[in-house]
Amino acid sequence: MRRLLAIISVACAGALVSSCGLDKPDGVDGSCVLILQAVDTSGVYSPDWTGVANAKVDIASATFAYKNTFTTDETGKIVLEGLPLGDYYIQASMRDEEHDVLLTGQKKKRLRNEEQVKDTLFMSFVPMSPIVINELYYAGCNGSSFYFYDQFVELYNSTDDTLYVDGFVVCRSQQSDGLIDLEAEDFALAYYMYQFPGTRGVTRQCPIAPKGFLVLACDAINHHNCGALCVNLLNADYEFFNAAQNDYDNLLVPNILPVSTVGKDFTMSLGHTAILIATGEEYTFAEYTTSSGVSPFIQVPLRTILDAVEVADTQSSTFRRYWTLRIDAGLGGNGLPKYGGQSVERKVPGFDSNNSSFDFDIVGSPTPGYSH
Amino acid sequence: MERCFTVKSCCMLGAVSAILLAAWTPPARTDEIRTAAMGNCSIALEDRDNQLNPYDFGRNPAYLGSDFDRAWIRFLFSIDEQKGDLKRPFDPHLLNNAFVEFEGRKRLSDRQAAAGSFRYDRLWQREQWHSLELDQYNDPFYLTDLTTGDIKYWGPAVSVDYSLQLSPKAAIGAGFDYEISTGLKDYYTRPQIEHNYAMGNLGLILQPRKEWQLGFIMRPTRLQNRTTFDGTNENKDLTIRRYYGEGIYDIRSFNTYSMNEIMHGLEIGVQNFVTTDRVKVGTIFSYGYTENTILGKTSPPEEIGYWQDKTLDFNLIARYTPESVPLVLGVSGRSMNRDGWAKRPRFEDVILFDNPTQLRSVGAGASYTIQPAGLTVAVDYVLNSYDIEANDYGANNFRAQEFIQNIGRLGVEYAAYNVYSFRGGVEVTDYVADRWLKLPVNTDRYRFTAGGSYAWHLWQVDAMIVYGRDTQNDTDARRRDLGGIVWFTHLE
Repeated sequence: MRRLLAIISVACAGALVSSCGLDKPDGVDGSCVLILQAVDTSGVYSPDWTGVANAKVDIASATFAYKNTFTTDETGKIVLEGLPLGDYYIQASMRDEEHDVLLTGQKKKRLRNEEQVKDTLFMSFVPMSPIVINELYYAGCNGSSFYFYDQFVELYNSTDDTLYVDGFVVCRSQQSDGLIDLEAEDFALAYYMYQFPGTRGVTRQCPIAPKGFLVLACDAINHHNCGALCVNLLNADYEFFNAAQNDYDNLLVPNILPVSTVGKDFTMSLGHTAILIATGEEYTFAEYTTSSGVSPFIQVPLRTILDAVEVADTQSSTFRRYWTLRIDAGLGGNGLPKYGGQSVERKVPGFDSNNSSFDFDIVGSPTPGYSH
Repeated sequence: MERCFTVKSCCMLGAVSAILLAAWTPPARTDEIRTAAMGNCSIALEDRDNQLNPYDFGRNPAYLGSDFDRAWIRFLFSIDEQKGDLKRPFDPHLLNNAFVEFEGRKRLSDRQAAAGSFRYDRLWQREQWHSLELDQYNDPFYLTDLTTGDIKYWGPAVSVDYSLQLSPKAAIGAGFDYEISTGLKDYYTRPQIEHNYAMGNLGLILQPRKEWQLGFIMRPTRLQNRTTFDGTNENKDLTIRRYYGEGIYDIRSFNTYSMNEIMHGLEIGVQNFVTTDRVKVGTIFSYGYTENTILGKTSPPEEIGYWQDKTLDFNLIARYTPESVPLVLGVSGRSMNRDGWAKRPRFEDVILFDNPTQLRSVGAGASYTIQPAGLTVAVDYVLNSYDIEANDYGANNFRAQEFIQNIGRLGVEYAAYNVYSFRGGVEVTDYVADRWLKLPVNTDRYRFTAGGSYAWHLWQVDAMIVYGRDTQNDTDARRRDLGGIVWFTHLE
């Protein structure tokens, strides 16, 4: 009996030890403190670098749904407390209404288990792009299973002058994991490139009215006939058309034609897509070896890019970006469902801080040719 | 909340009904319809299925043979419905549960006995707000969508216990519980929720002396809950929120997706029973450990949540029977420390959620039988002292409650000629305890029970109905419960 008791005791002790599992950590989540100093480096308002008082500081998590807006104190400092661990996009901005310019600075921070993290947001003037992407409708509608042919890109002229986009190019990226180091190159890697008619600086075939919109349709037909949430694009200003691929062509709508040799039409990925508009003055064809073989890409110099937008329905800490942070620092469209008939639209037409996390909202119904 | 106020306990419903911090040690499978119909009086009320022995108090399968009095088979049917808004946010507005079950007990030889049951459940969670799990409150990680719909679960459960007498002083036993169910939400995002639970039950009984029994229990458990999304008729993508505590969530948009929650656990218990002519004392000391891993669908699966729960639990019941008086006096005590904590494995080793719970309990009871009238009256009083914290560090939300819970029970039975009996009872709980502190504070619960039994040849029919009502002074919200159960038992 004693032997049996001893065996049982040892077995119980062993089971207890083996079941101890992970040790309880000492630190706690949600205790990150981020101290930011917003500094004006433009030299316009002061010859020295000085703190920017009352600057708006937007913070958005790259790993979970969190957005908040704060204001710096009179010294340009702000203390953000109680942040959970994660990656964050941070943007300080100050709009000069008088001169209609934007002083802004951005950063991506990774907060880990440290007591306090201090950093400086260097703010400078972002050249306000005269033409920006105002709305992207890419995620499809309920026309039928997998109906997404009513996609469109909407451009906006934020100036008081009529502008011309003759020869400009609209590009879409493609998943290109590891092909290039996005932050080390001075170009963006486009997969599709479509070009407006005319020659930049020479012809004047493609105007955008002051404060006006241009709707670029994937297929300029009335998709509303296919589903209640689908968009009527009969009144689109332009239509992406690929003559080599039996693409649909509305003869009443002028075409934007492909420069790239891949794809059947200018379709956008429904979950994660990246679009840019560039002047088209310079680009280079290049081939890269991807997992599916050699693919043709087009290198678009960053200096020619007027605006770039990247959107994704889901974000995570391991998310692979398509555009460099220099042309779009954050992702928009988080949570936008596929086939839901929804789009992402700029909060304020023309307001562009180069961060889609802050610049774009998901809107319930697309608005081709106007803004909410 | 409690799955039902009827007497059968099952893990699936137990998972749904975690409001009341119930005993850590599961009750014996042969539940006590008689005591349940008498207001749940249990401290001093002697009953065939409520004895102070290692099987009835701790479900040690090794004692099944000694607890065996005669073989029987039983068919039972139960239905129960709870409804009302006095609940936690992710509890269903209406919970309807019905099941049918066969169970039996048989002696296989002089030294062997077995018990088993097979049950088929239907659990209907109606007007379920946002929740996409069978039990949203089993850990701090959960899924939601933005719709309200009904979720209906169907599935079987089996349970088996077996004991083998090795010698007059030693017995071993083994058993298992297994249940599986599938739930479907009838509204966008239309997930399929699969619940799979298995528990082994190993026991050993030693009897060093005639009046002293020593029991050992080991229970490994595995629980898997998987929520799968396979698209919908709405022909649009699905959008859900994955919560890490109450403040941190990410938004997932997809066509198909699944999330898996796998819990492994182990419970080890030591039982002591001392029995003399007048005094019976039973104690259980148990240590429980569970580890829950939440995996998102990626290749390889992405571990997005981790939850660990440790419990030290000590239970005591003692009964005293005075000489020449049909009276039983009883006392009970309990001390439980439970510590649960969570973290997000993708980040550094920091606590996301911390949930220490402490329970100290004392109780007293008495039962008196007036013969030859056949009238039995039982009363219980239990005083529980809770100290609960629910610290959500991610949301910077810290809740703590330290409170006294009073439970009073009264049961009456009139039995005549060993043929029929009528029972009634009431149980009042002042301040229902919720581990997550999401139930409105100081919610009170009133339960009224009634039942009876009738014996005819080798058949016995038992029935019970229960009406329950939860109230809280600061709100007009209420929650009501109505249920019933019927047993048809054939003695062999």
